[in-house]
Amino acid sequence: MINPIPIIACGLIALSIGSNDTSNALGICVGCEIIRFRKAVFLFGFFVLIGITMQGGRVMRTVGKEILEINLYIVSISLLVSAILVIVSNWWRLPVSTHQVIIGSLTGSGMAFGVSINLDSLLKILLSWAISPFGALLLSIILYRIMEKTLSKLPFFQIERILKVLLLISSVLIAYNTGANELATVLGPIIHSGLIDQGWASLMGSLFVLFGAVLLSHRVIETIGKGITALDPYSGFAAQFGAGACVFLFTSLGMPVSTTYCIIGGISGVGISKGIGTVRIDLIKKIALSWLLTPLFSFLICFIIIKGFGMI
Amino acid sequence: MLKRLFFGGKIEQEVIEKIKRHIEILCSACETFKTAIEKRDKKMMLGVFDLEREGDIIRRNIISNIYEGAFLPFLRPSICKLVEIVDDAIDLVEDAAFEYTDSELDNETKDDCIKIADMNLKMCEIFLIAFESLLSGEDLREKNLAIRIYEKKIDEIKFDLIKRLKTKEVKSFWEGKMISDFIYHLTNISDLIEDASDYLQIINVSLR
Amino acid sequence: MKAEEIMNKRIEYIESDATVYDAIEKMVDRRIRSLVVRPKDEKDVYGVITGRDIVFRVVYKNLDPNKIKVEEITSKPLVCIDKDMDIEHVIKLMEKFNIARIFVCEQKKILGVVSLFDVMAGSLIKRARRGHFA
Repeated sequence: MINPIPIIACGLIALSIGSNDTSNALGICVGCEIIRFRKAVFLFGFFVLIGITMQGGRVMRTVGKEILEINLYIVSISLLVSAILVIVSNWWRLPVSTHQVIIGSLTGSGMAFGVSINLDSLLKILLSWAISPFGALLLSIILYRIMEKTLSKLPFFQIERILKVLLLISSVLIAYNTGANELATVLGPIIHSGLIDQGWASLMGSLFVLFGAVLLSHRVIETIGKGITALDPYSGFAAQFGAGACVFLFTSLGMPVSTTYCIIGGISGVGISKGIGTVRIDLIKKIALSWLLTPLFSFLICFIIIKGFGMI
Repeated sequence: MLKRLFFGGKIEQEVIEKIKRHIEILCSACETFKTAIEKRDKKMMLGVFDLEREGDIIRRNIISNIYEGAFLPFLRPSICKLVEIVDDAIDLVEDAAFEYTDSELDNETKDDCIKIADMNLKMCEIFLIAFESLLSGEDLREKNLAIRIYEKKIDEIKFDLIKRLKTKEVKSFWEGKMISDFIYHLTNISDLIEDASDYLQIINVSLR
Repeated sequence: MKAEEIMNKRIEYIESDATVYDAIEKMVDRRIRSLVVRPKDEKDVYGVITGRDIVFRVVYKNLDPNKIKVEEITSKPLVCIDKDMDIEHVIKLMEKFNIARIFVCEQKKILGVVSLFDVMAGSLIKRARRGHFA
């Protein structure tokens, strides 16, 4: 018997990923008119599918199997709560990482159910969350230096042409990561609880991401001009590709990490390379706060709900 | 779209060729102007008007090509601004040409004007070289400095010329105004070419 | 590059019996660094007075410029060159005579003056055009 709740919840989260995280990948390309919005969205969906098919397995295992003993109740509650939290925070424009929400919920539900939690696994994940933005920062700095030594030496109009190609490549990388890491995090639990086959889940998940991107397009356009696209194309590439490469590395290790935080790391890296002295402490504080509170919050809610309803 | 990305730059190439042509028109205008003053040939001066018209057409072409999708949006304002400045310079040559056909200059003033016109021409030529250097990746700084040197030399001539003209007697307000406008327009061409050269440098560093 | 191409045609003159003060005033007003001194009679020749002459021979010695005549600190005769002379040769001459400017003359007529600044600016312009124009 297929329990529809977790699957519906996944669908909702996937839609949400499509509507919000598409801009991470495509914002800069659409903003630079390298690719039209329609084509961009389908390119995005295509590479999400490629990503989750080729490398999704690792993160799926980590989230769906290695953290804790998954059961149907845990899956249902945690995914439902996650879906609600993700949708609500998107509505309120709060920057929230789907990874953190899901893992927080899973852990909270698991603990409330009294299932044993693999602390070793959990620790690795927390460490990855802490390290990945700095990894992206480092990679962006290195990339920027390389660009200075190679790309900068070329004639101006050649740089412009090459940059367009590079930006497309880095967008594809982010799209791939969205499938291999982010979508994998969402689908891991339901796949490993035996609810649905991996192949089908990957296909449907990618489709829902695509729907989210297509339907809620205006949000993508709104986010253009903020964040990464506030940078010039040259710096933007360094930041985005640095972030993408970092997430790719962590995906290979099976660790679920947030592209958004990595991009922030990437932008900071570029800022440091350019010698911008002042760092916005208040912004860093906000980000750190969100980073700490998000998983805690989802953990607590799940825990309280389960204990509260005395479902044990 | 992908084809445009990899084999393209076709529309960008077209725009670049047109910008080059636009700058060449500025050079021709300056050359025509200088020769016309040297030979005291007012009819030849009329050639400048034709060049200005041609320049306008090319400018409109360039701007519309750019907004049809050439170059990264990030670069477009700077490139358009460059084209506008060159166009303003051509307009000034036209204005000066018009005022010349309507005034009489004494020999000393004429000599100074020829010197200025000659330096305007040399500045344009170096500006064209600077633009080609942008395309080939050569260093722009020397060209930029050379243009600034010419601009300072023209400023010196202008200063003395105006001082001398102030002592000159004119028969009517409009005669005086024509001569004053003529000198003003003639001497401002170099300022604009210097601006354009500075803009070239701005574009050059915007993607590095 | 020839001397004629980079010379400055603006020459300012001063009488030899004028005072150094007059010379200073003229240099300031006309924003120039040297003045050609006219010969006082048929037997005399053209000379030149520069900022250097004024500073080292009048100001440094604490003399009153109103009391010194131009002819007392004029350098004679003018060092003249042909307008077709090559810049390399001009630079050599300037170094040999340790002068900051050299006059371009043609049959007793002064056509212009080439200063160190003109040489410097001219060489930069030549570099900028290098490889592009003949």
